[in-house]
Amino acid sequence: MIALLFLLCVYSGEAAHSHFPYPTVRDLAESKALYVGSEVLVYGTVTERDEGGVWLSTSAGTIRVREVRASIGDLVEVLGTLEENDSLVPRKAIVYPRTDFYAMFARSLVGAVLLVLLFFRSWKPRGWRMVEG
Amino acid sequence: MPDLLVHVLVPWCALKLFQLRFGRPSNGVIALVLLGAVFPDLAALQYLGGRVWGYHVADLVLPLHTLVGAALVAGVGALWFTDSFRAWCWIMLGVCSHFALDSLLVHAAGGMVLLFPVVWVWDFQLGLLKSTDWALPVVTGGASFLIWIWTRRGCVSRKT
Ligand SMILES: [Zn+2]
Repeated sequence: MIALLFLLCVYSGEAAHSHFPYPTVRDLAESKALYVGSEVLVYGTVTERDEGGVWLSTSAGTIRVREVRASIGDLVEVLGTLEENDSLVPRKAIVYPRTDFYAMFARSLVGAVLLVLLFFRSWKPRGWRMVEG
Repeated sequence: MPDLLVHVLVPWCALKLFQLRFGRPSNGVIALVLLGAVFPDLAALQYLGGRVWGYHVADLVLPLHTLVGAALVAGVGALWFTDSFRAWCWIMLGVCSHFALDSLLVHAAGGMVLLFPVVWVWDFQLGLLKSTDWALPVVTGGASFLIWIWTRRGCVSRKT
């Protein structure tokens, strides 16, 4: 099972990106010019904003996203058409407020601790097996 | 992903209600389901970023958040239990609850590639909630608290 899982992971490492329906920041990092006029998926942190939209810091550099309202530090996921001057016209944008994003990880930590407590209340290690009780 | 707290509390609430009504499943079984309910989010390793053997970590760990990959992880996990097949079944119930909850999420594009490696379809998403939304954690947290109080009352009244 571990070998099969390993093979699946390697297959996914090899093929996942090419099967994704849109170019992502990973592709844009190689060449933005190639994707001008195409729909791309971009994910980044808001570094600047004005009336017309926001600037996102991404691994492909700074990208201007028009018509999106967000605060500095928020995370934004945008599907949109890439234009010249590293500017994006969004078709769909999701804004994750910075504080809510960190709160999600804090809640996950609480969930993980709760799981460990609930699990070891019902299961005890005996040798290399877990025994109920 | 909704946060792990939601992934743990939703099946806990459902199974505790079931247990209060029918006297089963046992707390041990509930713990197995909860374990399965967090397994697919081992894929959160992708947040580490970077590359391993030239592959992006996000691509490498993607199978962990699919049915086949999670079933294999559950299979490995189930080996630690005496009745491994029974443990695997309960863990898989948790895995299914995980994907059911994740299907509520919205993404700009993509989402879960649930049927990997058979079909590369990325759109298993109903688009109802953002992963950072507070509504689901607050509702499940409140419901869990009420059920916990109810179970405590049950314990106290049985003792007196
Ligand atoms: Zn998930």
